[in-house]
Amino acid sequence: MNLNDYEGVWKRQELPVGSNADIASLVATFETKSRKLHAVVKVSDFAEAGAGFVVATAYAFFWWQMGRAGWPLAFAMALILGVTGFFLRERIRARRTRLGADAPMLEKIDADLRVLRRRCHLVRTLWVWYLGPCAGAIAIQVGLIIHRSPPWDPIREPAVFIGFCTFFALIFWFVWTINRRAVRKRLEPRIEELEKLRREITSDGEPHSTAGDPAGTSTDMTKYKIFFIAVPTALLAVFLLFWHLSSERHEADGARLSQLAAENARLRDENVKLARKIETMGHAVSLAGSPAPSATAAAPVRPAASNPASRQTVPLAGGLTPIEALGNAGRATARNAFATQLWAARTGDVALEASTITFGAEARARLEALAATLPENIRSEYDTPEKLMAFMLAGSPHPVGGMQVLGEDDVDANDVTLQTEWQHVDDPVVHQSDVNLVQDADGWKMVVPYSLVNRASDYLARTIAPPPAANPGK
Amino acid sequence: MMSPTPEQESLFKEWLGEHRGILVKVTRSFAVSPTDSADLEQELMLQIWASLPSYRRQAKASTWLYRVCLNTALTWHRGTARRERLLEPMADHGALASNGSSPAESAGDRELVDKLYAAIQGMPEFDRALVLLMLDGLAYREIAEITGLTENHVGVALTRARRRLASQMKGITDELE
Repeated sequence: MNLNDYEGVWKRQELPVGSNADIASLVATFETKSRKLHAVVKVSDFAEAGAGFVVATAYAFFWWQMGRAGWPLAFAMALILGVTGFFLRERIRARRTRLGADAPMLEKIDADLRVLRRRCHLVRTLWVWYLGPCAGAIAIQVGLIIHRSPPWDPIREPAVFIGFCTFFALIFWFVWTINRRAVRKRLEPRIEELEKLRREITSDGEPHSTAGDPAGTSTDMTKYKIFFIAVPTALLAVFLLFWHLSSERHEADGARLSQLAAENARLRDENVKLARKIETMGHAVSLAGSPAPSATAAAPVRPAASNPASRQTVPLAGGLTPIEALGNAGRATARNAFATQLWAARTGDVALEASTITFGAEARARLEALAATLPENIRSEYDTPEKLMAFMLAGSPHPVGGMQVLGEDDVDANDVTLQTEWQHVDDPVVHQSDVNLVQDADGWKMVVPYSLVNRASDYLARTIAPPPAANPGK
Repeated sequence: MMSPTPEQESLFKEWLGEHRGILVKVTRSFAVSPTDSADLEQELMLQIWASLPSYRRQAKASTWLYRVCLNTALTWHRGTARRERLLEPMADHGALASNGSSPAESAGDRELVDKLYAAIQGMPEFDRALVLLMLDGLAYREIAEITGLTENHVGVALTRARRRLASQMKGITDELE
């Protein structure tokens, strides 16, 4: 018999016509298988991708708990999410690569080989894309805990730390081992089987397939490493670094602003207190109606001669010599002593003024009586009747602006009367008076008349005397 | 996996009526024991059912069915003890072979057909597929569509497969004699 005979017999073979298949049963089987497959896929997706999201969320929670100090956990999150992204990418890729059962046989075998070889390659490089990043994330977490924990924390104990590391090393070794076992027991035999089948098909000239060959996927693997682990991690690291620096700067600015705001508030409160104090003091001053006695007593009393109000405001009458032009003429003659006395009073030189004047007994007694009523500071500063009178003459609000000596009557060699004309700085009236001068061992001095001493004493007593005490009954 | 539409379901029923022979031939060529035969035939039907949503009517139904069945048979794992059996076997090996057969079929032809299946089972897997397609009288172009080979390569592969079949048949005949 030849092949044609075989074909004839083959075509004549009686085959079942019609279906004895139970469609309902078939559909039920299909649905059951589909459900099981979907469940397996879902569990696998959750285990591979969902677990990554859960761990990353846990890291995010720890980061939130630790505040800004937990920023290294972002790198751990990036590593875990990188692994998750890689898983998802591989899953999507595998689903796209896998061909249906209705594909041509050779393409189907190539596609299956590609998927299997890819899986083998992934398992062989498990340290690169899975165990390595996971170990890195755990190392970051542990390092952060050790860095942040107090010295008595158990994890700082060498035994605990070694135990912790050993535990994770065993887990990683277990994962690595079971994956390697899966490659040896399941993937590699299946690949061999498909490769053998493909060799049978292509032994008559079809080119050898390199579908999914690890050598062919190494470039892909590098590309995945770059795009799914290195690039996102680097980008995230750069972002976090800038964010960290920026937030530090913002925090410093915020602290400085808070400090300034607190200082501003303190000064505002102080201003309010001072304003209230000033208001209270102003009210007290207005109630007193005059400077407080303590203030008068504390401040040294100065002559008013240098007061701008004592400047010459009215033109001097003809023939009068301005007092400023007289200067210190000394006391060698009566005329010189008179001129020196006026100039000293005009310029506020109390000591010089005191040296150019003297009194009669009655005037001296009046000044001594006045001195007894004055505050202690004034009394100690102007401790003689001459000084006290000189102070009053020098402090006159209406000083003499100009003068001239009209004549001189010599009573004796030590007693002279000068006929004088003089004018106040603020009054156009020219006064005429006789001025008595006497000579002692120091030279000539003007005898201040009692009327002037009495008037000046009354003025000083009114100006410096303490205010009347408040009525306690009111 | 998408579920077939009602239209595809009716197409499936129609195919099981018209082309059941393809399933039987593939099953008998790739499965040895009755249990494996039932398991494989069910797997074939399941794969046809699952692949129906992707059927675009670009190929003849028989070509498409052969493609699905041969792909399934090639990737079907023997040693089915570890496979989950969701359904009871629908028929034993003998029943599959004789189901629907005419009483007038000659004993000689039946014997020769059994020898042919025995010879096919002794061949490499891909050669089994080629011989099946060749004995069914498919053109080179159709075989190329199913296998993914070029027509030239199909010719070369068929020559080798014919030689192996002849060798196998000679061996079986010698054994029987």
